[in-house]
Amino acid sequence: MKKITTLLLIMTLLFTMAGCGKTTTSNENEKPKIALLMADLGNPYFHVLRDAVVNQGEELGYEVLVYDGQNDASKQPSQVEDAIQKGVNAIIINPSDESSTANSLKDAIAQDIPVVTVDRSVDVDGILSYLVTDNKKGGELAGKWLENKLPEGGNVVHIEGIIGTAPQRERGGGFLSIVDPEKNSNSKFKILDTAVGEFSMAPAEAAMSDLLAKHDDIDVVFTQNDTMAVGVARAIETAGRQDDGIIVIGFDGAKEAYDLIDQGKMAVTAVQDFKFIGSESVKYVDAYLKDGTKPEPRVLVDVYMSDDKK
Amino acid sequence: MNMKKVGDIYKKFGTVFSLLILVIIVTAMNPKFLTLYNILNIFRQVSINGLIAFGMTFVILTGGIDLSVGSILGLTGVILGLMIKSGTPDVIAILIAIVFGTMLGAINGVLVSKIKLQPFIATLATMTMFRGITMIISDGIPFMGLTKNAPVLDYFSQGRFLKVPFPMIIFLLLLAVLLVLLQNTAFGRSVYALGGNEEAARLSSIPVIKVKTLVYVISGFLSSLAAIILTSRLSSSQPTAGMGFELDAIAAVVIGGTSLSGGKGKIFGTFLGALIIGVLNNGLNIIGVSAFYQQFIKGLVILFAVILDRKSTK
Repeated sequence: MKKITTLLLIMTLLFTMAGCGKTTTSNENEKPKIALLMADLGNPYFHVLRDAVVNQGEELGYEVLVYDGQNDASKQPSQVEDAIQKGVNAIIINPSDESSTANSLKDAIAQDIPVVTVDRSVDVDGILSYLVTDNKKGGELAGKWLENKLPEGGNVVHIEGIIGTAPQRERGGGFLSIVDPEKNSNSKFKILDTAVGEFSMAPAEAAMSDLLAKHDDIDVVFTQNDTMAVGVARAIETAGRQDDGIIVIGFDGAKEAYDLIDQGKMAVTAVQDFKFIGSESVKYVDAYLKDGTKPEPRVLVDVYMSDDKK
Repeated sequence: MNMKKVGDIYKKFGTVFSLLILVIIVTAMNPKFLTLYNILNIFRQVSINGLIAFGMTFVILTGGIDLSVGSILGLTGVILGLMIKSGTPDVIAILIAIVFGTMLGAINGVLVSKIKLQPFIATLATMTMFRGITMIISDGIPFMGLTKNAPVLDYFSQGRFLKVPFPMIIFLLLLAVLLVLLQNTAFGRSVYALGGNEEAARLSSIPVIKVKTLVYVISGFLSSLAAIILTSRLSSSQPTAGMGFELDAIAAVVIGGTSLSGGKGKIFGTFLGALIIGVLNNGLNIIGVSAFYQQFIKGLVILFAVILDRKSTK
């Protein structure tokens, strides 16, 4: 009896969950469909990418079905299968990791459905194209921006993301290749200290508080993403050092960063051009579907500084 | 003085020694560590992990564990952010958030005491559920700029009373209150009795269910208090806030000499344990140890502290 109750309970739960899922029914069956699979719409920054794909898609006459993987790598494969089932004409995917969707995407490719990956790649043959921000160049750009801002040099603190991840290595590496005197003998800057902020606000805030206790001659803080820059700016405020004129540089182009720049608490951020990546990916599948044109298999997208007119 | 006496002294003051040695080493490597500014900075940082670890001490003393503390912190923070953003006066929002977080602790308590789930499993489940609810409520988006028109909330991290940072005052005040609660009340004695031998405690007519529920309530209360301080410190509530905090709290409890099998341990030990972790985090940044070594050294110190403790309790 107990087992049956449990079974019933689980089934009710499952049905409720199924009800929670968003069902996308198409009312205009004529329109060709593009499935957009986002790894994690929980990160507000990725909404820029989603909006770019949806807008460009509608402009070119597609219906865009948006899936949210909710940062759970196990969800995306079934979402790909669901998209294929719905008979989409193309798939644009921001994969949550490099491998979990590989098998399901193979099925799509076998049915000649073009697949474009954005921001991250998937380890599978036959992908139409892979668009990604050139993080290394972005780091270099931030470094060059700083050279222009402080031609006389200065003392730099470097707040790193999660150690070992590609953005941490590439953004930091690019920045240091310009600013670190050990890597660029022409640099007039000094790397005062390096700390880890794990791409997240609380650890960045704590690390910055520690470094503010240690140094009273910080001129510049380079953070590898905007979330950490927000934490750094808050630590500077808490320490009562907002009048020291410390230059805080972020990376991503998040809304919070623009807010802080407006308030004068942050100097600049290196913007990932998600708008371009989103609209470009739609153009790729559109060209392929129309006349079989193939884009470059890997496209590195340039970063621009937020104070740059684009 | 014979060897047994030396052992006894170490048992009493071992954690203090560890902390002192750590302070001396770091100061020798960079004297800036021992400035008043930095000491207050450490206390401000430690107060969050410290409060959570105090709650964890009660739970562990009964032989349980609370893995959901970080998720309670995250959910409480987001509830607070939501209320502030929708115009609730900050005093009321803070009170509601704390009551809410305390109730989350009560859920854990009921699951463990009444439904008799293993604490590890029960709080593993609620840890995941509470984080899920946090994501649903916030849509994964952080609430920013919360302290702008919320002076009371701002005071929780930026405020100073007689030059002492307010979070440090909360931390020390709760240390005193919980010390008395654990050492000098019937409730405190029941907590120890429960962890020592649950069956014996039951037979000596200790209200097992009540005590077991209460320790999780305390843990939930302290985690939500920590949430208020963290939200104030960052002036924002992050839906991912508190992830992994349970491990730092457990580390502080264990370094402080509380046995994971329950029944043995002290709040003051946890206080020192939290300070050791705080000094370590801060000290490694102050000395300028590279990130690659930081993790390794932290693990080594935890191991060392626990081995020393084991030796001294033998």
